[in-house]
Amino acid sequence: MGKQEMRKRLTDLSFTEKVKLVERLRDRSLALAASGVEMAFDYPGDDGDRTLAWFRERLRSLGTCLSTGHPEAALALVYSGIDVFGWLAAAPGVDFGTGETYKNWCNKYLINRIQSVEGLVLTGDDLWAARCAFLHTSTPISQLSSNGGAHELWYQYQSKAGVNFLLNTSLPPLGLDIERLSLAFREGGIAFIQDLNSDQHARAVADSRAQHFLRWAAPVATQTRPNVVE
Amino acid sequence: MKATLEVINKMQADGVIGKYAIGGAVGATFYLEPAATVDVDIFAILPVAASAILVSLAPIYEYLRARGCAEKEEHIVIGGWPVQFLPPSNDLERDAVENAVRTTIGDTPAWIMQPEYLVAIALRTGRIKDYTRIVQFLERGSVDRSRLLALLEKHDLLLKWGLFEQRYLEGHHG
Repeated sequence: MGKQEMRKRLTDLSFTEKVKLVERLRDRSLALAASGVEMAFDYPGDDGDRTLAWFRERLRSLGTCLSTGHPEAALALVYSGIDVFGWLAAAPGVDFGTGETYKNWCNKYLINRIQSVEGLVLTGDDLWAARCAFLHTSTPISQLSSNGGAHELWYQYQSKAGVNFLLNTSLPPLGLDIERLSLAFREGGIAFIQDLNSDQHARAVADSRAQHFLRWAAPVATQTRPNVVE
Repeated sequence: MKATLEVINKMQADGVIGKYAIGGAVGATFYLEPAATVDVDIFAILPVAASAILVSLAPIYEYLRARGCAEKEEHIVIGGWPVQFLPPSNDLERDAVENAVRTTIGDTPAWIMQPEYLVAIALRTGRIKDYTRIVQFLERGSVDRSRLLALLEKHDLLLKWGLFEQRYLEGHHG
C-alpha cells in the first residue's frame, strides 16, 4: 500500500478508531519519555561562520560531483547555490529567494566571470530560465526561453554535450561548460563573501538568514535520568 | 479519551462550563489522519456574570480537583489525558465553539470545531506545526475554500493567509 493510500485510509477511519490510534501514539511517547532515554543531536559545530561553512560544504560537494562524472548533480548544486546566495544578498525585508534575487546575484557576481561556449555574454534572464528549466524538469526548456525571453542553454562537460534534440526556440541556444560555470560560481561566491566582510550591515542580514541553514547532526540516544517511573 | 469526555460532558451538564469544542491536534484528527499529541485542547465558554471583567478558570479546577484530577503545569489530567481549558480569547474562537459539530467517541458525545475554524485558528497561532496542519487540511481537501476565505476575511486574517500561501503553497517558477 502506498503512502497516499495509507493516509487516505487513516483519514477515513471513524473518529473513535482514530482516537484509539492517537492514544497508542501517546502511550508510546510517554513510554519513551519514562525510559529516561532521550535523543540528542551531536553537532560538531560550524566550519567558520554559517555562510562560509555552507559555501565550503557546497564546493566540496561540487568537487565530488565533477570529479566522479556527475555533471547534472553539479549543475543542480550550482543553480541552487545561486538561489541561496541571491537570498543571502537580498535587501532586508525580502523573506524569500525569487527570480529577482537570483538574477541580481548573477548580474553582480557571475556573468562577468562566465561566457557561453560560443564566447557570448550570458544574461541573468538566461541563467534564471536555465535554472528553472533544469531544476524543475531536467531539460533546457523554460517558459522564458520558449517565449523568446531568454536563450536556451545547452551544456558541455568534458568531452560530452547535453543537448536538446527537439529544438524549437526563437533565440539561438547557447552552450555552457559546467566546469567553467562551477569555477565562476566559486569565484563569484568568494567575491560575495568578501563584499559581506566589508559591509557590516549586509553581513548581519546574511548571517541572520544563514542561521536557518540545515545543520547536519548525528542523532544519539542519551541516558539523561534514572529509569524511575514516578 | 472517552473517559475524559464523559467528565467534560458532566461539567457542562453541571454548569461549570458552557458550550465547548475540541480544537488543536485532536480536533484536527477528526478530519485528518491521526497525529501524535500528548494533550487535548478544550475551548470552552465559561458562564460568567455580565459584570465580570476577568474570566477565571478557578471553578473548573475546583470542580475537577474535587473529583481527583491532578494539575500538571498548564493542564489538568482527566481520564489519563492532560487537558487544557481555553476560554475563547477572540471572536474567531468564540464562533468556532458556537459552530462546533457534534460527534461521538464510542457512544460518548463530543463537540469538534469545523475544519475551516481549525485552519483559521492555526493560521492565527502561526507556529510551524500549525502551518503543517493547515497544509494537511488543504492536501486532504478537508476545507471548503470559499467558506474558509469568508471566515478569514471576517476575522481580518486575509493578509496573513496571503503570506502563508506565498511561503508554503506557491513555488518559484521561471
